Amino acid sequence: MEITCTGSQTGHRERTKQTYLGSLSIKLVTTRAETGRQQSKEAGTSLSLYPTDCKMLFFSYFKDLVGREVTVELKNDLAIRGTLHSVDQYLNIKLENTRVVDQDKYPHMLSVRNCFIRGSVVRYVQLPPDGVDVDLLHDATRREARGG
Amino acid sequence: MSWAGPDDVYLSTSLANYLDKKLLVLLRDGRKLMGTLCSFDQFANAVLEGACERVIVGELYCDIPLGLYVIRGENVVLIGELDLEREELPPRMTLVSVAEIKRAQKVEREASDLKGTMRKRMEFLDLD
Repeated sequence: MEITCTGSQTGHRERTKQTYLGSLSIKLVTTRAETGRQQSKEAGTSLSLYPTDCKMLFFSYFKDLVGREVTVELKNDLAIRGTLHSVDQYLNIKLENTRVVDQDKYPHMLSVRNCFIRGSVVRYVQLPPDGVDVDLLHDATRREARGG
Repeated sequence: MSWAGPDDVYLSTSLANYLDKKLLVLLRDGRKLMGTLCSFDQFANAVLEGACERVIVGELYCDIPLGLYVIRGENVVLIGELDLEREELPPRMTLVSVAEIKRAQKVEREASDLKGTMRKRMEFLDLD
């Protein structure tokens, strides 16, 4: 089992190359220059390596997408575009700088700029095409399918 | 909803930032409630003070006062922070009384019921 990890202090998050991780979770503290914020990680999971314990894969995946522009389509057909501020274990989503896709149909949403969306009502989360490292996700999914 | 630890303040999805703010809460049945958030919990249950229901029918709207409301989290779709500097509604909309908005709602409901029955009759003919 060979793992190469680099925890950089300069503010860049580097993707690590991994061969096989199994159920090993690595404690890393990575600093990430993102509008001046410091992002600390939870114990037991890492930001750039998707963990293999069940139910955490998409949570970690969304945590990596924080700061990106996404469109959340809800089960009531309301579609909201905004910057992903945060996500939690229930996949509740907080968006900032929101604007509704079809503003005329939803006049009551005009002055809403930040919102909290309950995870249970999300139908889709539409992502930028370069938001997905498909290979990393495939590997993590395969590991989870094997180990879970 | 996670409770924010000291490290997680920037990343938190907790509603703590929304406390004592005027919010718009969308419910699963389509209702729009507005009020000040008093408290919440991990299920997104919420207590709204000075709550009112904003009923919108076409270009007409009305705020029906409700008082203190406890909302069960499973009914919550979205909780939005209202930006006080912006207009809550487009200027073309007109505020009307409760009685008038109820009448407008009834008309809208009857129109959609009629549309529903007409569609059922046409489906029977199977024109498609």
